[in-house]
Amino acid sequence: MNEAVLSERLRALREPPPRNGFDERLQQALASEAAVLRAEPARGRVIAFRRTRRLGGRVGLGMIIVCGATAAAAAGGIWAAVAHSQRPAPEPQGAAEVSAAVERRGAASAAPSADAPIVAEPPGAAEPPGAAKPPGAAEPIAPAAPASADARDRAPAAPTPERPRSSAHPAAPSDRSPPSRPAVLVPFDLPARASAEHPDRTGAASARPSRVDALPLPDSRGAAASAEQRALPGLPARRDRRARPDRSASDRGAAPPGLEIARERASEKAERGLERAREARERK
Amino acid sequence: MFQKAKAGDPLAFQELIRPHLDSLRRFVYSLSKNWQDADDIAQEALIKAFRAFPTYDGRAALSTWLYTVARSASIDWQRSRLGKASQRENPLPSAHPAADPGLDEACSQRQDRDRLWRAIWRLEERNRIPLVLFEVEGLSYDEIAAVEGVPVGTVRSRISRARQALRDWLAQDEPQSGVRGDEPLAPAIGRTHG
Repeated sequence: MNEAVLSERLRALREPPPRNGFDERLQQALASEAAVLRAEPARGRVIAFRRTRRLGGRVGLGMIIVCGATAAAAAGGIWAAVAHSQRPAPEPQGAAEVSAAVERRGAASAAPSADAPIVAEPPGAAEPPGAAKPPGAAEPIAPAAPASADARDRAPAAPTPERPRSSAHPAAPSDRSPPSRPAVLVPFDLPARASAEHPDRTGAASARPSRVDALPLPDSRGAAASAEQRALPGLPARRDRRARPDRSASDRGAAPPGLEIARERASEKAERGLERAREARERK
Repeated sequence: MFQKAKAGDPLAFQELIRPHLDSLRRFVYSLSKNWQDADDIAQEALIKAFRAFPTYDGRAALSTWLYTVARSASIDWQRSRLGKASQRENPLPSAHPAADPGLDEACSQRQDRDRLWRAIWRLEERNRIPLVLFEVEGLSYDEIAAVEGVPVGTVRSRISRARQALRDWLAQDEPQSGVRGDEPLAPAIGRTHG
């Protein structure tokens, strides 16, 4: 059987099917289905209304809860703002300390600068107690050491013949001399400085104000001052750990370990510088 | 009429589908194997089409859309318990009584059509549907591909396989003119649809 014959025979199957009242039954079925479809919207509306009521109750309850919580939060915020505004404004922390430090620094810098020339301080400023120099002897300027600034920072304040340093210090711009002012090299009293720096070694604390005390450190000083102010009557003042050692601390010989180490290193460097200077002098 | 049918007018819908009713019933008959079930399935399919007609967008031909709905309804019916029971009770229409010699030409043609239907029912359903739609109902490959949801090449290969199988079976039955093929066909159909 070839393809054409098969196709022709299959095409012969395209005969009209028996009626069997299919059209009438289909018409009735479609009409009843249409009636059901027409009735569905009304039923759908009723169902939708019930669903809306049911969901409306839940949604309404949720809205009430959310709105109540929001109103409570807003009222709390307003109350806190009003209470904060009615509270007396506290003095900003550090303002009194800064002013006290400024006053102290001004008093310290005004007295020596009145009658003393400007000193160009050698880097190895500190001298050990054993290496005593005759007062008034001129000292050669030693080459600058890397830690000389630290040593100078931690060195005690210069005595009356010594003047504020001409070297720049970031925290003490008022100590700088004018640029046009010529620097004068003046010998300074190393044994006295050493005894002032190391009261525990010399056994005698210097009554002169140290240079560390003269540094403008408003935070630490202010913290110490505020600690003293905060002390209760009858109780010692609470010391602030961050406060740098002041005069009373150095008098008591209680310096922080870091400061002690720095001082030792500075004194060692000063010793080395003095030795080199002495050797150079002997060679001459 | 199209808008009325979309609005839910049953008479307009019936007028709209009237040209496709015979094709639909034949197509469903090729899947259900008896006219009673075919009419039930076709009616159910047309009711579904009436319900879903507002969603018909007109991109495909109405006949293609109706064939798709009818095919889905037929598959649902076959998977249902009612369809399985009906297939067990009516496995195949019996051999036409006009097998006796001396009948007229009309009876002979009817015998030939019944023999062809039995051979078609032996085919697998995935090959049978494209063959019926292409050879009997005259749909194109593209329309069949749209109804089946498969590529056109798949439709071509399925039709080719169905033709080859049909030719082999008819060639086996033709020499045995007196037998009509009831006995050899029954086990194969039981295997296909069981």
